[in-house]
Amino acid sequence: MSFKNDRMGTAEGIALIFTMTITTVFVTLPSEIVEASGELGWLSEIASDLSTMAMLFLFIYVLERFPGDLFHVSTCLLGRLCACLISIYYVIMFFSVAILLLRDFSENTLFAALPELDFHSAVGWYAVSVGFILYFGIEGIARAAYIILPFSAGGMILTFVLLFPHYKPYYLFPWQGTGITNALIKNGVLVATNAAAPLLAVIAKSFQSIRVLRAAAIFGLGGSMLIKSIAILILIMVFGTSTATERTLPFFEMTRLISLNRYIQRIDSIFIMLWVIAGILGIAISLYMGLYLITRLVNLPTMKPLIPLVTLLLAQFSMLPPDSASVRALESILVKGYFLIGIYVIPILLFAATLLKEKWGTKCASE
Amino acid sequence: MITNNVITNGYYFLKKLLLYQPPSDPPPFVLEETPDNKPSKSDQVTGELENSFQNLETFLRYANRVIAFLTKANMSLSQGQYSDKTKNLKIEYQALEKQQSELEPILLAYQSGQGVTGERSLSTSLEENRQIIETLYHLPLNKDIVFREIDIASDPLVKTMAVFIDGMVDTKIQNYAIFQPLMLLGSDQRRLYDGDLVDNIIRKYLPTNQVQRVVNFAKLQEGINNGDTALIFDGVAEAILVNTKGWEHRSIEKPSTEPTVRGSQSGFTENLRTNTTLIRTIMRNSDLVTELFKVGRRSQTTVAMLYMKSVANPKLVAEIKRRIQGVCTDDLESSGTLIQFIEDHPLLPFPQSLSTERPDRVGPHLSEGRVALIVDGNPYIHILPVSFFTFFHASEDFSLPLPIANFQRILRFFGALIATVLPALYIAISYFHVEALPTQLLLTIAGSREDIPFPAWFEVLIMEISFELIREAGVRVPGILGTTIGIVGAIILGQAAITAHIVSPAVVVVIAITGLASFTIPEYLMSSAIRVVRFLLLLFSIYMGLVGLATILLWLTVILCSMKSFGMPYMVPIAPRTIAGFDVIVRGPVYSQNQRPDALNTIDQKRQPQISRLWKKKQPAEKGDEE
Repeated sequence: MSFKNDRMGTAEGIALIFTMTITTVFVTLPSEIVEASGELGWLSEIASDLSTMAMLFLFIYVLERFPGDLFHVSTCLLGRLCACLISIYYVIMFFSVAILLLRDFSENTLFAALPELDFHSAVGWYAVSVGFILYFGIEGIARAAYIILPFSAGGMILTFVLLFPHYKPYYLFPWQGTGITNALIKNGVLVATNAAAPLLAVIAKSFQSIRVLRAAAIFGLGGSMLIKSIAILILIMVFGTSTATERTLPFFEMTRLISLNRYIQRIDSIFIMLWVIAGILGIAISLYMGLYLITRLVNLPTMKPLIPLVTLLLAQFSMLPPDSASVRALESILVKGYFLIGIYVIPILLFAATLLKEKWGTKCASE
Repeated sequence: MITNNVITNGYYFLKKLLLYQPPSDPPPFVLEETPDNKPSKSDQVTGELENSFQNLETFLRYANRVIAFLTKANMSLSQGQYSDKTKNLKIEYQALEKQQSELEPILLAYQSGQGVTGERSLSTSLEENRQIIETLYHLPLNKDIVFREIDIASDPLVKTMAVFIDGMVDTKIQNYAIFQPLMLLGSDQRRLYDGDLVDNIIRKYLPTNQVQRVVNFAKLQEGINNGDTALIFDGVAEAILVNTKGWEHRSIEKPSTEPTVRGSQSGFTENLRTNTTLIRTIMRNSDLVTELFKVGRRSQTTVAMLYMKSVANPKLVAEIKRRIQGVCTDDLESSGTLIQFIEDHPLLPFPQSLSTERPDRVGPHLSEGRVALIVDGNPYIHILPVSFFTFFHASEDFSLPLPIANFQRILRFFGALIATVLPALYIAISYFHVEALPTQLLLTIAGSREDIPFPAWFEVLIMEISFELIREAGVRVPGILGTTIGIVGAIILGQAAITAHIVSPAVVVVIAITGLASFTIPEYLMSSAIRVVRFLLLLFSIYMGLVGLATILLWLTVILCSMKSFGMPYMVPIAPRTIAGFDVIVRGPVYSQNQRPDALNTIDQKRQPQISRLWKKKQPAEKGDEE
């Protein structure tokens, strides 16, 4: 298992954060944002992403002064008990993200690609795939994500371009949607659409330097923000707010509209490959973060024995909600509540502790 | 009487049928795998110790007898009693001599028990040396070991024995450079034993380029096994190994598996020295180091490791050396076997070293800071470490103009992509995602499949397996017949399968394009790995369509990204990102290849100055500059 220090560079950092934050564009979230913010849905996405980026910079500030990973820094700043609580919180958060993605992508598969496949088989397939790639460690996963990144970003940009004939700019009006404040605060800053972003702090030790973290936060999250907000903008321009809110898989349904001529039409099937890969990577990365924190918490030498067990458990959990509506409800509770602690409260807490520690001039023992 | 009726005949027939009778033929040979009476290791050790103990007791008794004799002789000589006791002493001395000759086999047996093959030193007795060599080479069973005894004229005569393996030596060199000078140039007036005999022989009688003095049997054996002639002299516990290597081997020919249009036309052979020479003719630099190792306890195969001392990363060189020295096996079949012993991921299909039979391919890699491994007896040289992208580069890439070379490279990558995914993609789309096909194409495919009784996946699988069978048969069948089988198999079988409505024309086209594309990959091992992967993708796309295809492609990407080729990440310079040097998928102009591959961490990173075309900065030739 590879979670050795100082191995990953900027490319891996960008790929990890981009992959983890872009996966939401393939599920129902864009429709939900449009439903909440109306024509200003794209702004909500930008607000949410920028606020997450600001919090990431708080993490980076802390890590610059107290090098180490999240567990070490929390122990150093707040004591072992608090560090354990923070780690447990993030374990639950990353596992929740993994469960939601597992369920969402399994349902996507049934809906868009393999309607005759058994639901349990779909969940099992994703779980096995995730378990398999987890054995190769975060280094391999991050590098694979980096190789796939240009294809996924390029594929999405190409989709946006090919949808050009369907753009109806007047759908963006009335431009204020459900209100600017509503879009910026209630449906923007206070919605944790990038719950997995703190992964940079969780495995900070695995990156070469603080410069890498900074670049990953700017380009990874920034790139993802750009694509997601454009996706929402185009979603509104293509379907209009009322139809867009009804779409279960908005991105997939946008690709279905592409029909340039008799040869370039219905390219949605090709995009199945894109979102399957993005989905598996997203689940694997969230799972890895949770497992990493567990190994740090209980001081295990390796996480390998935990992989099949935890993957199986999470697959079981993901099958618990009876239908998509209950998954959406659960997701809404998490992104508007529980996940906000990991995005805002903990970084601010650690930042404040750092300021105090700096003021008092106390130092931390290195690991 | 009643002995020959139906009942008695029936009775005797049944009796013969049912009753056991010992076979009249001798029992057939059965190789027993684990005989029950095989002594255990501890029993063996105890038995060996007991034998050694008994031998030592015998020697001790003999030594005591010699001491007693010497004491007696000393006393009688000091007392001056010559006449009466000398006779007795003489008898006693003869008895001791007799006992010594009787003890010699025991001594030999004892010494062989102590490891004749080890570092045992040569004896001063020519006869004893001969006996040990006979034991080592299992004479008289072994028929190709030759002992040639000669006398070198000298005062006193030098009894000499030449030992060599018939067929491994060049008899001409042997006759002219060893036997002729030793037997003809000697003189009764000379006193070769005065001073250092071996040195005298080497300096005055052996006009050969390589001689080596050895003092133990291990080195002696190594020399004889490598085609040297061993000269052993009576009264000297030393031998001379004269280089007379001269076994038959294939001469330099065109590379059979790596043909090029514009590259060099000479390929490696099975002879290690020829191969190192071929590389040295390309890299004429004192910096090129050739280290030799012996691998294989029984085969003692020579392995050569070549690298540029001032370029290659010392850590990499040390690690490869450590791995080679850490191989413990009986024999080494080929360079491929050695690589499997030392590579990082021997269970994965992807090659982790570049195998080539072209010296012009080894040279540039050595100058980039890589290491080349040559195994004696194998014409394929392995270059390591390498990245995934190296396998798609051909040796003539830098010989061709930039646009042509890049076009060919892109074509190769595209070929590799088609060879990997096309059948799986065809199945996935035609089974699960037909909407992705243009209507006209969909109708054509559906029309061609109308009369086919099998599902599409079965057609593809049948054709894939048939193609692999044709390919394998074409390789195994010797000579021109192999090519014929390939053509006949591909054309006739394909046509017949379509006519018989076993497969559809669309599937034949898909498989033919896939097969053709797989041949664009320059490296055979990578091409084979891609074939294996293709089957895997095909199986999963049959089950899960594009979802299965995407998942397996992701698995492969993660595996490739986690792999290392002798410590270097397999997917450099893309994952992890390193300075690419403009030679990954496409290559830059030759004058912009200023840096060596970053991932190799070479001692000297610079390949050429920033401005490598110095003539650009100088004045053009003018009138009067002709000379």
